[in-house]
Amino acid sequence: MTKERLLSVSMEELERIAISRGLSIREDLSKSALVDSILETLEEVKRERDEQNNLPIRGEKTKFIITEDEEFDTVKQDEYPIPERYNETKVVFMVRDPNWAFAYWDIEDQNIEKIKLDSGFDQLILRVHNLESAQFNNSNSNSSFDIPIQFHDRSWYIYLPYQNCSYVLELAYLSKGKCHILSRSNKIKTPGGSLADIQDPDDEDTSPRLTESESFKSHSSREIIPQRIISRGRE
Amino acid sequence: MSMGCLSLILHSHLPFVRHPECPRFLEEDWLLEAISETYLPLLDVFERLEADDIPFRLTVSVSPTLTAMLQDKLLQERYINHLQNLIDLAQAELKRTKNDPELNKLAGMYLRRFENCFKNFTDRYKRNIISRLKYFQSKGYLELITSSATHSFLPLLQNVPKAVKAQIEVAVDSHTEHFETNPEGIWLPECGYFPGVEDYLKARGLKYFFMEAHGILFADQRPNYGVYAPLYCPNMVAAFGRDPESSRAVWSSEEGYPGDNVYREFYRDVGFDLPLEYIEPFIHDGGIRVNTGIKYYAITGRTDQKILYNREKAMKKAEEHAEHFLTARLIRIEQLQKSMDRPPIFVCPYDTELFGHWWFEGPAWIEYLIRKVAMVPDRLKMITASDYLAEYPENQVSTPSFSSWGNKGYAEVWLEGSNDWIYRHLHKASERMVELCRRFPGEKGILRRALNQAARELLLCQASDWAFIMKTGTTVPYAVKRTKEHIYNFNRIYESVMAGSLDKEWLKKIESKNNLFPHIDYRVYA
Repeated sequence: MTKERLLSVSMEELERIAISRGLSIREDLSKSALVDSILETLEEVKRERDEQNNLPIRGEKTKFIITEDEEFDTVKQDEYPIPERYNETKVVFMVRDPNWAFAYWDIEDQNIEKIKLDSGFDQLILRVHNLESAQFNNSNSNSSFDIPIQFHDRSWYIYLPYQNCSYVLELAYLSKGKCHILSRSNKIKTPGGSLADIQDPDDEDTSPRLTESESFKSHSSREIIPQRIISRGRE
Repeated sequence: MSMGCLSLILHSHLPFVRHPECPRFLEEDWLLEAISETYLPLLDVFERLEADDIPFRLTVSVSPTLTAMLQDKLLQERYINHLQNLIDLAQAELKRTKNDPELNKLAGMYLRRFENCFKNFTDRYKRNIISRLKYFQSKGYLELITSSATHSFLPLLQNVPKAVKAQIEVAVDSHTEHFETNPEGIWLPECGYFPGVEDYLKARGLKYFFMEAHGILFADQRPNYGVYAPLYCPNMVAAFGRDPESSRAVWSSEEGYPGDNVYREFYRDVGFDLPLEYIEPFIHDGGIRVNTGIKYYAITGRTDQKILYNREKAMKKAEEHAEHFLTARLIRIEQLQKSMDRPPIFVCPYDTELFGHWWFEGPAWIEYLIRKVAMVPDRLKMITASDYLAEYPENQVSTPSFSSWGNKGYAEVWLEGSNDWIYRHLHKASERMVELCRRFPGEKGILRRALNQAARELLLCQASDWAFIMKTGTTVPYAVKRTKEHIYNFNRIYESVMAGSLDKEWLKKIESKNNLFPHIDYRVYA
């Protein structure tokens, strides 16, 4: 946003913008000083955002730079209303990288009512199953862990400890020590995130050609927390 | 035989942005700028090379949405108006700078460029850029390939297989219709690959795709030649991996060529630099400052005190950089010879819009590079993936790894806190489309039109660009609005078709607005 454009909006609007950007406003701040501090914050956000981006993404981004004004399109009309949810009992699992997946789900209103009426109801959970074989059944699920969730939660990022591994998710609730499955997700497989093992020792001499793969170690995000873990209940 | 192969791939794409409801629409500038700064200058390069009888061979992917926009009469008309406005501005600049010879020379350069664009676009190409690309393909200079229908990031649609299938099928049909040949290969948007996507490609006759280097390196069998030869997926569709070295040289503004101090500075545009009362007639309505494309300064260095751009110096540098690029590849060939029993292929894919738009000297760099490569035919040869496969039909079989060319190499750009809310809707609408197909397998008349429009709206909401913009923060409100618009339109059609109460007037309105893929058949979701 250009300085002249910010200077042209009302003080009230400027304050709203400042607050939405997490700036604290002193009473005695002049309009010009407020504009400067908004611009400074914006610049910082931009810089931080760009630092996260790799080269193709930075390059691609330039296709969409026309002006600096659009970020403050503050008009709040909901011209195209879309539903928040579709009132169905369902969980979908999406692989994001070698260690993180994203899940979103919904529970039909009548199911929620039923669960709430269950006197033994203890906890709503996501049960993450690590699968060894492609076909999932309860007997070959070799390990699982639970993530407690609330009724208002609808999505979650999940850390998956193993690469090159298949997972499935269950949306379930615990009642009197028993697990009641509401919905089971699609199966996902995490990428390996590294060179495959050498199967034929004679192939050892091919490794020097792959030295460049060193530069790809940074691609594995196994120790990197996602930039924005979703907050509970946000949709 | 050459000792090495160079495969330059220019991926051309912009999302479908067309707003007949407004006389001028800000985001349409993405296309209008790209035509002046990238597509026409690149055609100029091809024309000159052909005239000079220089052999060259490039791969150009043209996304179906970009193809639709380049063929659209309204947008063609708007481009001419846009160009006329730029010519007026350049003329005003010529007057304004008359007492400053250096600035005046630059203003003259821009005027000539815009006039040249005008002449080429109207007289030479008769507004039809696609047809000129077709010509260069017919002459053997280009291999034109497709991308997914609306540039959807396919790994995040994989849980609705028919959504992936439709993205591929509509793309291939659109390509065949506009270019009159079946595409041999595809640019997977954002190099987004997931194991299994090759099945959809094969079903539509696609023989190869490109991917990020670690997709090849982390394949389930170690690649014998690293990224310097393709892999066959188990179904024999070939995967070509991007060469990281040559990519870095061109992409990076720090260590790569485009950041050189003598090149033109992208961020100093007269649209922002000159007083509002002067520039107002040439920028967006309401005094919204926009990039005009007239930029007088060189990158100079990490300083706000920019020096004026010097075209001659910049061209000399572009030539040096082309020489450097070539030399680096030739050195690499020598290193690789020891461990390879066939010539390595350097796969170098870039966004086309990088050249000219952001890296002003980019088209000139490509031209210098092509001319230099043509001088060493025994050492390096420009080829396409199809050429390579014809020459080397035997390749290692291995399943590549899920990957993309985005941050950290996977799906993080398109699936994070700013954009993850869209997938619930994208998937639901896809499932509903499949359901509509089942319930209405052979409709005619208005119902068929409604179902076809539902398919268009669904494809449009799946464009990776919206999630990309939400993440990278350029025009977020627009990206959010577009996502919601298409989901809303889709849902409204779905609900009214189910209830048997179609609003014909409204349908007509959205058909004429979101008018891409005129021959789509909704049963692509069957």
